[in-house]
Amino acid sequence: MKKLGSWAALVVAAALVVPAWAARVGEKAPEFTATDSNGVKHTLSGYAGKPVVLEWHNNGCPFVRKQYDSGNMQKLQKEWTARGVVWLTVVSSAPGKQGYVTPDEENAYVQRMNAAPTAVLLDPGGQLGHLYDAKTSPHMFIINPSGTLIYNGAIDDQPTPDPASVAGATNYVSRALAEAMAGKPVSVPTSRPYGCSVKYAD
Amino acid sequence: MPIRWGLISTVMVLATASAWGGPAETEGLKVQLISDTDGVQPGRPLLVGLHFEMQKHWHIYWRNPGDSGEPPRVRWKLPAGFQAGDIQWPAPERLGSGSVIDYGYQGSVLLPVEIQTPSTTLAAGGSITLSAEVSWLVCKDTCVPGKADLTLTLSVRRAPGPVPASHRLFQEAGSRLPKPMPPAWRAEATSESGFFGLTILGAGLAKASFFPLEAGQIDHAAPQTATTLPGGLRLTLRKSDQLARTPGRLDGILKLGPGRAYAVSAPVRALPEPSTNP
Repeated sequence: MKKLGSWAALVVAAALVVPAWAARVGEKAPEFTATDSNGVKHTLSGYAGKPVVLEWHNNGCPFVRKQYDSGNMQKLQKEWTARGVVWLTVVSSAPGKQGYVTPDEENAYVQRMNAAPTAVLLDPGGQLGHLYDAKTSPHMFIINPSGTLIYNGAIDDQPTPDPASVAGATNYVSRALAEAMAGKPVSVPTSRPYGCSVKYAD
Repeated sequence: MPIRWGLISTVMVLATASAWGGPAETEGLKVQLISDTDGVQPGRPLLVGLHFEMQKHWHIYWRNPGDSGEPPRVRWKLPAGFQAGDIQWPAPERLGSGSVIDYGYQGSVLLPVEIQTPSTTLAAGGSITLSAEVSWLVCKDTCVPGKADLTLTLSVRRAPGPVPASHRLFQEAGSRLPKPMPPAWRAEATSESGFFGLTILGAGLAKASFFPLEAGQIDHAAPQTATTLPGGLRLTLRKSDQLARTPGRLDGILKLGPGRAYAVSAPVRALPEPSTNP
């Protein structure tokens, strides 16, 4: 009996060290402040009343290149920002790691790729990445106008770097945004994000 | 340098680099389709495998790759009457650090596949060719996708024998495959607020780590706290942020040490969430 009691205490202790969710669908999305490639500061609360998409990015990752070389990501950015969505691309690669960019390099990339996010947030220290527990590039989050996270996961249902897979893919982000804007529940609110690991500092 | 496997008559490869002959070799790895035996016996299962040899610091992925990456995939083109089974996945290693943890293989790994063969349409003295369109993702600090068409031609024989060099690899791969849990053991799980409790009751359990077959159930990067129980062990597994609904079972492998891995399928019992009243 005594043994069992101490075991129960241990289990309770183990439960207490499990940290809170980083970014859980249905809960309030974590507030952040981050600086974009033009030196402008953005806060999540500053976009209250608008849907916000966060897109984790690494320009050297084959899974990201699948989306950008095919023009698919740019198309999504244009389509949804035209419908009032705030689209924030986030680069959390640490200096010296794949995908790390200076502000000038990122602006040149955006222009060269004809990308159209609202802004690109540069997060070389990984604070925003860790706040949302972004695992991969791409890893997509959607926050509704009242600040609740409504999607956390992959960009689509084709977990491969093969560019041929873009055409037949079901895009989870587009579907979730369309459903949310129509006042419907998001049918696929989570999925396994797939891609390259986010290149955080060691 | 192409490796010849015993009496295999030809080994042809179309690698991504468009090189013909020998194993497919790309940045990060070399891969070859090999056979356990020096021929195919009509009507008897044939054991073949994808032998991946990674360069130092490079890795490929397990069937559940964890937080990033993708497992190797294979599409077979086989003669009439032949049927390939699923890839048999050896127990993986935990790879990566910090908040992104993957499951995969470093060094080298053989992924065995059993192929059923027809008894009627094969004549002794002839030969057959197996083709495998293999794709993979190999990563170090960065990732490189690869693809190769691998072929293997085998003679039809009444009594094929082992190919010593590859037979050793198949035996080693076999010892790394998860075994069924001993009949006396029991596995069960509870779904609690923020975590699963996975209890394994069995003799000699002290240290273990759980590798889930499905992504999106547990947080791969969270430490797995082990608690010793009378007659067993309990692991605390933090739930994934991507977990949408509580699964009916936790399926995976329990790794106790090198060469000691067991397939586990634990029914999940939901415990009531603690009251949130102040």
